Amino acid sequence: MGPSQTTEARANIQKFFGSFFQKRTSFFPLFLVSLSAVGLEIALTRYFAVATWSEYGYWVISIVLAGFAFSGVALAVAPGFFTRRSALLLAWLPPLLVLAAAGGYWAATLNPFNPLQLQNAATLTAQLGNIALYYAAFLPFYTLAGLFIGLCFMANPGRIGLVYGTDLIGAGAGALLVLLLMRVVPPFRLVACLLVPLAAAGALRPRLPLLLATLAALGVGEWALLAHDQAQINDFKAIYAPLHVPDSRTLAVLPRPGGLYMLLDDFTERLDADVSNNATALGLPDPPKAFGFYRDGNRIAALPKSRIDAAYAPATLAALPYALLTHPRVLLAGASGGFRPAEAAALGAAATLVSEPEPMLLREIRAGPALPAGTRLTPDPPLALTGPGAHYELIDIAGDFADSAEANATSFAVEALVADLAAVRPAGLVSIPVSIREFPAYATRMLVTARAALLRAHIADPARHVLVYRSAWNVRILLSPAPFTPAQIKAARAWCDARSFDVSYYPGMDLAASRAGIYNDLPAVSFETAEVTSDNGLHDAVADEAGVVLAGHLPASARSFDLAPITLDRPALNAVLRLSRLDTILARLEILPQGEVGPVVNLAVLAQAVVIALLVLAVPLAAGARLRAGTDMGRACAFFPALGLGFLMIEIAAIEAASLLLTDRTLAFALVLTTMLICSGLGAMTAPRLPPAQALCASAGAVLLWCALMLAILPGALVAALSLGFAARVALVVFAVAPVSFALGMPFPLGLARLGAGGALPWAWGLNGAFSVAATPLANLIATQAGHAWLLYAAMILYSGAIVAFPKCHPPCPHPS
Amino acid sequence: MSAPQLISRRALIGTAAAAALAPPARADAGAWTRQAYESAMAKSGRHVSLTDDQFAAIQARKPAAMRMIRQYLVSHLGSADPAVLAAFQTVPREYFHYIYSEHRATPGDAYEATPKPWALGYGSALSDYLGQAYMTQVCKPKPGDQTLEIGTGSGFQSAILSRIVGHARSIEIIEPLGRAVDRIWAPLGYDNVEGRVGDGYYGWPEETGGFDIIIVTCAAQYVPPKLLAQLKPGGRMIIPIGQPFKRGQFLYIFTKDAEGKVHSHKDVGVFFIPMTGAMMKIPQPS
Repeated sequence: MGPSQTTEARANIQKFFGSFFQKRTSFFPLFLVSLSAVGLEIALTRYFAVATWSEYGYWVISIVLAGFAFSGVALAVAPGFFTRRSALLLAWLPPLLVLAAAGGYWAATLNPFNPLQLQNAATLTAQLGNIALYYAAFLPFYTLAGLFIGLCFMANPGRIGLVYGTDLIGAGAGALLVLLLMRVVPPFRLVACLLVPLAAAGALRPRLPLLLATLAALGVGEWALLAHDQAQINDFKAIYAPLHVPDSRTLAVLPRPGGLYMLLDDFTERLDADVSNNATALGLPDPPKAFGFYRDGNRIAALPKSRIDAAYAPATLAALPYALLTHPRVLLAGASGGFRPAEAAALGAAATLVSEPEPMLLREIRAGPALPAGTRLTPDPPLALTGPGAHYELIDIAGDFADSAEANATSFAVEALVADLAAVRPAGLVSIPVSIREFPAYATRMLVTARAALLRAHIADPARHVLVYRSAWNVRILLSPAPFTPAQIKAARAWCDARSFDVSYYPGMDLAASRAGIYNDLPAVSFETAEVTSDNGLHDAVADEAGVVLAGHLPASARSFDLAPITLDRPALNAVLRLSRLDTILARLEILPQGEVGPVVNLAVLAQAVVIALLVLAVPLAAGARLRAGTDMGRACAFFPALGLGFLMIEIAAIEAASLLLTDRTLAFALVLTTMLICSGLGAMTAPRLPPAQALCASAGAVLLWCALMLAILPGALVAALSLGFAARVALVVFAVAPVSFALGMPFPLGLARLGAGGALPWAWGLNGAFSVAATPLANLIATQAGHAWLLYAAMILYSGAIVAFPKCHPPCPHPS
Repeated sequence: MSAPQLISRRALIGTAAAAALAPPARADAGAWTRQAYESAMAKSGRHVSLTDDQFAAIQARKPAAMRMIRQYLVSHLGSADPAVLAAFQTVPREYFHYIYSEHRATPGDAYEATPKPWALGYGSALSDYLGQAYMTQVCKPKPGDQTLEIGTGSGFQSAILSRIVGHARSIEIIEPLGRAVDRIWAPLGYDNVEGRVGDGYYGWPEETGGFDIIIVTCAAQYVPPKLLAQLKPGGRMIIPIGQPFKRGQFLYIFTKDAEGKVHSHKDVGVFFIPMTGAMMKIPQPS
């Protein structure tokens, strides 16, 4: 190649890359706005989780997406107005977004919302007003953000794939950024950090007034959020009192993606074990004082102050199995801050393997006093430790195991109990805790689950393999591969009698005769009729149903509660309400345990989302013929909602599966969200390079195949993969989610390209957003009520529909790129 | 005559008879006027000023609230304890409506037509007056009783009990709330009620004779053994379970038998919703 040819080649290369970067840097503000919008969404859900309770974070997400929907409506109704001013708006929206984000968050922190008052009809109305104030606080930012993104679409009708891809990749980057920030920044400071990339979106353009305005907005925003921070933890959360008693000390504050962890030293902190009320009479000491370990204001464990003296252990409700066994080898599910291994040792365990999957608890236990000899601590979940070859005499689930991490609920599933029964020796025991403090129905559901596990473990007569005993507030269910012997039953009854515990079920129990000796009267109340039947004697609502359930019949409470067994496909422990009986639920709202409020909140969010979706769907009718001209409205009304719903269905299903595999729900959420957004962004950028119809069929077909594959192999494949190392499991999540995400990114820009320029494009954008609003609560309701598999079924139906509903275009069809 | 009507008539007859025998609530010095209210509030360190009309409006709502309390107790428990009614009549509820975190009196909220709980700040709430009347009667207070409350909150519960029993004590763990509330009883002339700030786990060990009634607002999985040890034979320990803004708080009642073993009873009376007519089914009297 001669010198002139070299020079020409170099010039062509420079021209190509210059063009490449020019095209892409012009979308960098879009990248930053999308990054900040998703980052702010996650930051707000973290704010709600710490300041109030996490179930109200769904409301935040719905407000977010409603803002996007409203912006789409505005652009669709007046496209000319916005298009003529697009350059001005795209330049000046970022500083407005900074002010809206800061102002909205600051206003939200002043909101006196108390979700506890939603459960009382007399105090409900005022709280609805506070919820409306949250809309006022957050909608401006998300409407403006949606306006910015929508204008980017309208300004670049020939590069829809690139615009959409940039939006998605920016969103994925925002999720990743917040995940990293949460490792060092407390939750109440996250929004202040996210103002910076938002301001950068406005500072990139070389115009001095804009730069000054952006910097001023950033300065005002940071001043408001940092110098006048009003965010605080609700004073009815568990941590409030310990923080405000005399001589209270906060020993550590540890921000993490999984939550805001705090270690407290104050006089209220003691080991919170269910201990016999006769402990003093038995000559046993009180549970010891401890440090309190909190996550997002909720107490998750007591941590020992010094070497643990577990002399109190024989008085605990959990101690019975140790009295029935001789020097058992024990698998403990949950370390309870380190106290459970000490208790097991004090009760005679020969060796103890302790599963503690909660990473911060594990960290604190390892940093605390030495565990007893013969104890081994592992982060692996119990399901990974009960595989073939495992042999224990006792598998003992801690009373606080379910509350210490959401992913731990899988240890109560039928599949987990089957594995437990296979992992204990024939004369061994599995000990399962259930709280009946507010709803005895939870014990009934656990018995249904236990029976299903015994049957699946090829035990023909489950009723002979169960023993149930309780205190006033908690139940323990013992399962055994071998039938309980009369000697075991006699020993259990004597043990309970000495401690004022009650035996609610044993094989051959005379229910009527047992009433005379009840220590903890527990009358049954009908959730259906708000009635209690009392003969002025003693009652045992657990005993009333235990025998019925174990005999394979439906108990009376099945009329009011969904008692379907807990499974890996449907592991939610607090999911006994029949949402089909909404009128009864609302009538009994005031007595619902807090854990059952989430689905009701989801229903309210879904109702709001449906209204918004219908509003957006109606826009073409209001906007007139100019919006409908040249657009296949009928198909568009089906195509874009199907995509909005289907994407979320797959996302939620993937998060649930990843949560089981990684035993860390927060990490699962962040990993799946980031992977899906970035890979779908890449798919969106690739879509315009292919013939549209073929690209749609290929992408939707890939989604269908992926769903079918997941339905076929889950959850068995997940359980099998639990034995892999942590890095391998993370890689498995990424490699499983990435391909389908790439395919998921393609249909939307392909459909937008069929709408051409004009108002139809932002309308479709708003429609997708509106149905995404509905998709989040809908997907969560499907997951908790029907199971995760139904999310995949729904996705398959939706993407099949999308193939059929792909908009046609009147010739000539616009080329997508 | 149907069963519910039979119960109501019996309850009314029983209430009238009991009223003739019950001792009056402990007398208060002087009439309860606006000036007396403001003076007591000032002495307790909670300054407030009301107009005559504002004070009169509060007092005007009181009779209806008292009727509601009586009807609630009759429908839920079969009868209204005259001592409980007298105590609620005597203790001025508006005096306890105060948001301590904001240093702001809210007397205008008292005796509201729709009873509801009120946030007081510092994670505390003044429970609705129907629920408090219910819990008071479930405690079965008698003259001469010694009572202990763990979780003073507004101080209203101990004030009510003090009008019936011999001596009422109360412990609050939140220091700013406890220090403020400890000053409110003396201005009313209640000399048989005292409070302290501290750890309620160990009860009130100076009272060596023990307590007839112990009320514990706690979230632990077990009842502190030291508190159980301070419960007299035949005494009752009441533990409300559930978040404070629900109307449906369960009451767990702990007692000791002759052997010293502890028994518990879950009181589900809050499930009764008189407006819908749902009632406890009890056997016909023989």
